[in-house]
Amino acid sequence: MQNQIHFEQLSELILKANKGDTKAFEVIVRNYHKFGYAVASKILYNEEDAKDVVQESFIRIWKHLNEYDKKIKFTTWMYKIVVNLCFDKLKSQKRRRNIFKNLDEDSVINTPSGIDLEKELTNKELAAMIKHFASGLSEKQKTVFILRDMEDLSIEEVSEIMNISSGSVKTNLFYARQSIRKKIIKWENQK
Amino acid sequence: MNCSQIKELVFSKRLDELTPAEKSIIEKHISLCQDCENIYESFQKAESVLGKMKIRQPILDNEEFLVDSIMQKVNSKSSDQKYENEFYFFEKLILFVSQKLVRYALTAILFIIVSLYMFEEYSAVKNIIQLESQLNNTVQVNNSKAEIISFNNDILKFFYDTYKFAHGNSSYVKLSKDWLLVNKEDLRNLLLDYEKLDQPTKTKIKSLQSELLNQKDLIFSETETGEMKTLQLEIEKLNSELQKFKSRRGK
Repeated sequence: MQNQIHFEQLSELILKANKGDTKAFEVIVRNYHKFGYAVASKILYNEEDAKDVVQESFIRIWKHLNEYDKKIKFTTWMYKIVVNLCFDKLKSQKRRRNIFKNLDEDSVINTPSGIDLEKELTNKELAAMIKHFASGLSEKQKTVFILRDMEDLSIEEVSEIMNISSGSVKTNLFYARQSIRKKIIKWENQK
Repeated sequence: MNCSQIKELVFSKRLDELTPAEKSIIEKHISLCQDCENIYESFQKAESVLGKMKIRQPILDNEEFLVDSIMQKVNSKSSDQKYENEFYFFEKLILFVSQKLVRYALTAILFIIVSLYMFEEYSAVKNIIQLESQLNNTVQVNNSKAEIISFNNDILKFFYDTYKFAHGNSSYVKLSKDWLLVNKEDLRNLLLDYEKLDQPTKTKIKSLQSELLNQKDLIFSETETGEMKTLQLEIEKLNSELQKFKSRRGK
């Protein structure tokens, strides 16, 4: 996923959107909504929830655009909002899960089988793989892994997004990588 | 490095994150250790799976619908925000006004404005009272003069008026324009009354009229005195100023 607009263009669009120009904001939405959706769907494993989060994220971005600090990358700021909203969503799902414990089918983790990585993956297959490999990890460990190893963000960016130190990012990443790789190897051997 | 350290290194880093020195240590170790070679191979497989997962981004269906729904909400928030901004402006204004010093300053300004207005009103009222009193006094003087002219005799006054009205004596006009105008209607009535009178009375009046005409010079000389002219001018001046003040007060 490549950024289609340059830094200068983005700065100008943000400036205009800050003054209430919704057309300029639409250009930003069109260029960045996929980034938000990619992260949200990997954290939430659910397309509709991810869409809700992306929508809510851009509404927040619109409302708080005047608080955007140009010192950090726009995508970093956007990811921060997306990740926070994902965590909020997970918390509410967890609460719901506690109430309807036996009714929630999402709580059942199935080993993804019959998935051929050489072919195009459906959203559900990709979500099932991440869900399976990340099972047993905390939300923090899983999100650090997704941001660093799947979205290719730097340690510093992950630290900024997650609002934790670089050391904490590395520690969480260490446990996440170990756990995920072990699960992948096991999955590969089972095929 | 022992096997456990190699294992930890392999599982904790990405392939592209390994430094050349680390790669060299691993390669040296796995060439001598079959277990670690197997682990390294598994690690490379896992890296390959992750690499494939990484390039496969979730497919967003109904993309346009998502963008549209975002923009729809943004537009509605935008109008809300506009309202909020307006509300925020009034809120700020109220906060500003509610500050102690600002409150005192506004009260002081308001007091000064009210005082100035009251002072002006008071002066205007005072002037009006003065003028009205002056005018009343003047009119009284004027009336007394008029009485002198009419010789304190109603019948004589009647003839005098009818005479002046009939002849349109310019001196009379000069005497008091307002007075003449005011009495014009009365004069008409008087003339009508005169017409209604019986012949003996009319004859009597005519004789009195000739008596009056004999005294004409006396009357006119009196009306032409400087005192009367000054008085008339003063009445006009006062009247016009009174009108000005009254209209100002009315506004």
